Amino acid sequence: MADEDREAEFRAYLLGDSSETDSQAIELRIVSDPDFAELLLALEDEVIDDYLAGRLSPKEALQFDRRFAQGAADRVLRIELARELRRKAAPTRSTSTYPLFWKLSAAAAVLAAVVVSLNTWIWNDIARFQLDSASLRGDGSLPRINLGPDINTVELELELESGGYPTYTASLADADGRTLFTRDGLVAGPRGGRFFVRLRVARDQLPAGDYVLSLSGVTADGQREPLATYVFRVLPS
Amino acid sequence: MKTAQAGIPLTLLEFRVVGRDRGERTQNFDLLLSWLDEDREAAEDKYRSLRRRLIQVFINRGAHVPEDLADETISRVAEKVVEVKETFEGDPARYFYGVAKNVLHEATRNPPAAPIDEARFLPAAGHDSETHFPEHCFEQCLATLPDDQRELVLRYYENEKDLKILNRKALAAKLGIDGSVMRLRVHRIRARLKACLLRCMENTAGETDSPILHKGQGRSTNDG
Repeated sequence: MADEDREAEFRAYLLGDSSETDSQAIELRIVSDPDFAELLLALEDEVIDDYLAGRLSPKEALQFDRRFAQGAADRVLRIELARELRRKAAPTRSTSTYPLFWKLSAAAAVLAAVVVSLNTWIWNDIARFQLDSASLRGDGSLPRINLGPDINTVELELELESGGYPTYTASLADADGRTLFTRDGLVAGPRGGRFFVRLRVARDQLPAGDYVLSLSGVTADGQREPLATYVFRVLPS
Repeated sequence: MKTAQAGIPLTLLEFRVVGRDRGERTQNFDLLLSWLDEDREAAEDKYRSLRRRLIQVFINRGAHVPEDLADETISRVAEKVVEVKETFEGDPARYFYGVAKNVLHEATRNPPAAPIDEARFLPAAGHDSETHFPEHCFEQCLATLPDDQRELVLRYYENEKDLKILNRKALAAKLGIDGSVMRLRVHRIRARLKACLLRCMENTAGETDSPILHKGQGRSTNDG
């Protein structure tokens, strides 16, 4: 089979989803064949682009987060470069997400902490958490949500690169890629020059575990367009 | 470890050759290279390429300091090269990979402590915190590209989302190449940009004494 036809297999390897036997076969080719090694690096770039554009499946997004965003400095740099190129190629796109400086500073400050609870508000029994897509986390961890005993509702505030769709659809999946629920008819609102979609989830729908939240924009004629993926971890109470 | 640069002769300092004394280290070094290719210059190129690909494998396995594991692999091969060169049949890369698997296995069993200094890409003082790189580095590096390469990489990223696929097909058709060739071409431009960014960030760190780069995150990384 030609390499072009084996792309899915190679992508699975890059995302850490191959068997050990398949992984070793691919690695032997990387070490033995410079052309193949370069082909795989080019495919990695494509996977990075897909992640930043929210085109990975929930399961893939979680794997990417573990393998790439938390990986070697080389990969982190390549993700950042892809981000900059996207920004440069589309100058009208808002410079969304938190600046890396802020993220790294915050990460450094909480390195020893058990919980990263950035941008969290608690009001009565509702806890609100702000999530940004395709995050690069300087402390090498997923954003973590720690719910106190009095919390009954979790409000996830999903940051967008821009508004522009009449409505949005959010779909929550667990770490195995199983869809837990899909919520239609969400709307985006501006705040502080940025756009957010808010999603309220009952606490009992979020037991401890890793989650992937996929957000799509819904066009006026009902077409869904993947926009962003958010990954987070809910800690045991 | 100092990084090997294409076109510059390798020196003993460029990898951790083992041996009782300088004479033995030099011998192992030469033997290792001659095992890769009889022609010295070709052997040095192969060595650099092989090291990059070992780093690539270790990155794919999630290693945080893949350069160290690649160097450990090379060091072990160098230690055995006297006997292996005579007995091993086939592509030396296969032997390197066999050793790399052992190194990886050991590293997995005894993982090094996670690096605590994650501020390896912290921006320089006075740097616009809305930008992930020092802005002048990104712009400078982009400007060093030939016009056609700059246009290609930026057009490649135009029209994100649904239009992207159509845009890329149209771009490939305009260039008279297929999609996989274009992807490779864009990858090479990105690799070139990345190498330029690292150099610029190192220089900026030197000028401002700001921790833009974590130690060891220089050109020794996998520059494709």
